[in-house]
Formats: sequence, structure tokens, C-alpha cells
Amino acid sequence: MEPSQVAPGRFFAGLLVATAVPVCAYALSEVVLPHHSVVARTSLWVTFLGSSGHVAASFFFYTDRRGRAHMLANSRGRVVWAPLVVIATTSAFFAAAGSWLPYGITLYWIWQTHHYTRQNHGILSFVARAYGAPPGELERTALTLSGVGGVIGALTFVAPYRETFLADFGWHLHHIALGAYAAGWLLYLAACFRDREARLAAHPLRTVVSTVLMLFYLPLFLFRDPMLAVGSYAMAHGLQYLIFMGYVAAVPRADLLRRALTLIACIVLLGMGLDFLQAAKPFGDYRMAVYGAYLGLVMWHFLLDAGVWRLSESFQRGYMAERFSFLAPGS
Amino acid sequence: MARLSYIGLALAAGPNRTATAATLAIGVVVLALGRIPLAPGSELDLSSHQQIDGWTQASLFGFGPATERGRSIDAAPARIVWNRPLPRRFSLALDVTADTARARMAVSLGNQRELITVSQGPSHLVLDNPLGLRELGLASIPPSAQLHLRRAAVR
Repeated sequence: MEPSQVAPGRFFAGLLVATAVPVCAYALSEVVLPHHSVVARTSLWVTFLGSSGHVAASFFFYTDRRGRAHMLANSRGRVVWAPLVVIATTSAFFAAAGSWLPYGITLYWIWQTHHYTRQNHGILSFVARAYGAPPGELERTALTLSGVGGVIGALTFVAPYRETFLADFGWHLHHIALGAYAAGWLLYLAACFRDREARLAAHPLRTVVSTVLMLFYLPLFLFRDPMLAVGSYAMAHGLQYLIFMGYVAAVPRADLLRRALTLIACIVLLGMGLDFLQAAKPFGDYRMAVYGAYLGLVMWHFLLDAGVWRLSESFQRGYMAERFSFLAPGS
Repeated sequence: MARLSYIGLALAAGPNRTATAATLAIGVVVLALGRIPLAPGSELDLSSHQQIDGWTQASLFGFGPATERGRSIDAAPARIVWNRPLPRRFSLALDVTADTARARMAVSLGNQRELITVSQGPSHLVLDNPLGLRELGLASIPPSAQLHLRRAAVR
């Protein structure tokens, strides 16, 4: 299949907008105009699309004939085991009575934030591929350190850690996170200085995008309001993902309408289903089990993404190069 | 085994190894800073703390403030854990709202146990802390007394 000619500028501008929208929406709804109905509705839509909507969008890959065939042929382990995660988490939450559950949920949060960082690394690879100035070890370490800061910093915002031995060390964790994040920035600035000639020669978006990636977890250290501190970058991750999926669904062009409708159906129907699983009231005594199923489905999304976007493997590299022409060899 | 090798492979990658080493070094520095006793005048806002009421979704999946310097639950019995050790000798000022005129409540610091009389407004108690502890315990008061912690200060 011929690669679709993607204008990288438009794609990365879309990612930047997707990153900025949740911060602006939550700043408006939580701080500036907390009682404004339009702002509140916009914020709800951002939350839906950035959380359940984006998780649901990843299941679009199962509707793609080539993607599904490849997964069944080459990643049988992942395809088989990922759904079993849902059964495992549902059972675990149904039977949960011990003090281990907060530890399990805390591990889930670590995985979730790590998942965000993996996408950030992916975006860094994409932008370097599009505009040159490939990231060296220093820049990758900087982004990893910012992710470590994100993982540790996010822990102190989520309630389960209060039920673990970490509860008495919230201040320490937050400061370790801040230290790791600051160290990441020092390395990033060192990388920019060392590679300044390559960066100056490259398109300015190369540096803009990588700087925004470094800023990704900054809300954790700026805000005390959880929606701004955690929700802003979590939803940014989700909206970025929807941009990626839009490009995935857009090829082949001949099948554009059907694929676009399928993606929208995934986002709306599966996304609403995922949202419903988070509601406690309808499920009464089974609410914990149902919530376990919800977390299991999100973990399925983590596993699915870890395979589908693994561009070190030839099928994925070719599949994505058809959708993002700047990834194609010799582009 | 596969998981262990996966973690091993992850740590073998240069950026991950450097990030891990840097985080551990920062952790050691923060923990060392965390051993410096609190300065007189340190205050802890307890009014935003909420009691975690068991295994409900709200308690497990909610969010809380990040940069607190300690924690407690809403009313006695409670633990107040500070981020750093309390001074060797300090005056504890406890600000509460209570619907009782003068309730006597036990405050414990390690093995030390003192009674403090709480009513509306701040109550004071002088405590010695030779072991450099950072946790205060507040015992139950008669169940009829509704008492909520608002602020604890070290002077």
C-alpha cells in the first residue's frame, strides 16, 4: 500500500493542541469559571474523550482486518492473555477483602503513568523521524526521568496510597518526584546544548514538541487540585492518542468512511460502556467487581498498545509507515 | 522468571539505568533532609483531611492533596504524622472545633502520654521528644463529644 502523504506539521500541531486543551479546560472549569455550564460541559467531554473514549479507540485495531490477522498470527500470547486480565481483575476485586487491594491499585497507577511515558517516547521518536535531530541517550534519559517523576508524583495524589505503608511518606515521595523531574530537565537542557547545531538545523517543531513532552508532568508539581494536577496530563495523553487513531483510521483512503464510522462507534459506544462500568450505584454489592472489570479493560488497552505501536517490529513499522509517511524508509 | 528477565532487560537499557540511579540518589537526599527536625512555627492544616471509610470506591479511587506535611483523620482517635521529626522539646498547639465545653484528650508521643484539655480554640501542651519521633497519637474522647481537628502547630 502506498503511504498516505501526511503533513507532519499538521499532525504535530494537532498533538500540541490535544496536549493544551485539557489543561485549559480544567483550569477554566476548576479555577476560573467553576460554575459556568458550557465550561463544565466542555470539561466533561474532554474527560470522556481523554479517558474512556481513548481506551475504547484502541479496540479499533480489532476491527482492522490486517491488524487483527497479524495479531492472531504473531502475537497470540498477547491476544489470548490480555482478555484474561479482565477476568483476573474482576475476580480479584470481587473477592477483595484484604489489605492488598490498595497495593494492587497503586501498582495499576504506576503502570498507567508508565504507559503515558511510553507514548511520550513514541512521540519523541515520531518527531525526530519527521524533522531529524534523532534523540540521543541524554534526551531519552531526560524523558525517562520526567516519567519517573510522573509515576512517583502521581502516587501521592491517588487515594489508595493512603491505605499502604507509603501513606506516611507522601511528602518524601512528592519531593523525590520533584527531584527526578528537575534532574530530567537538567539533562534535557544539557542535551539541547550538546545537540544545538542539529536542533537549529531541524524544523522548530522538533524542539517545541520535545519541550512540551518534558512539560507533560509539570502540572503535578504546580497544582494541588487533582483534576488540574493529574487529570490535565492524563486527558492530554488520551486526546493525543485520538489524534494518532484518527490517522490510523484514515488509511486506506478508499475505505475511509467505513473506518471513520467504525472508529467513532468504538469511541462512543465502547467508551460509554466503559464509563458505565465506573458508576457504582447500578451495581450494588457487585460494584467493586465491575470496577475491577473496568480496570482490566484499561490494562488490556495498555497491553494492546505496547504491541501495536512497537515500531521495532517490521509489521508494525510498515503498517504505521503507510499512515504516517514520514516514518517510511527514505522519506 | 520471564518477568524478572523483562525487568533486567529494562534496566540494561542506558536511559533506564541512569534514571534509576538518579532517582535512588535523589531519594537518599530527600530522606536525609527528612531527618532534620521541624522548625518551631511549623503548622499542619488538618481541616482538609478526611477519614478513609473502608473499602468504598470513593476511598480507593478518589484523589487527595499531594504536598501535605503530615496526615491525620478527621477526629480522635487519630494519628498525626509529620513529614519530619518533631523538635526535641516543643509546645503543641491543637486547634479543634468541639461541641463540648472542655474535653480531656490523651496525646501520645512514643511512650509518653499527656492529657490536653480541648474546647473551642487552640489548646497547648508541652512535650519532650528525645527520640526524634514524628508521629502524635490522639486518643478517643467520650463518644458524645463531636470533635474535629483543624490545625496542629509546633512552637
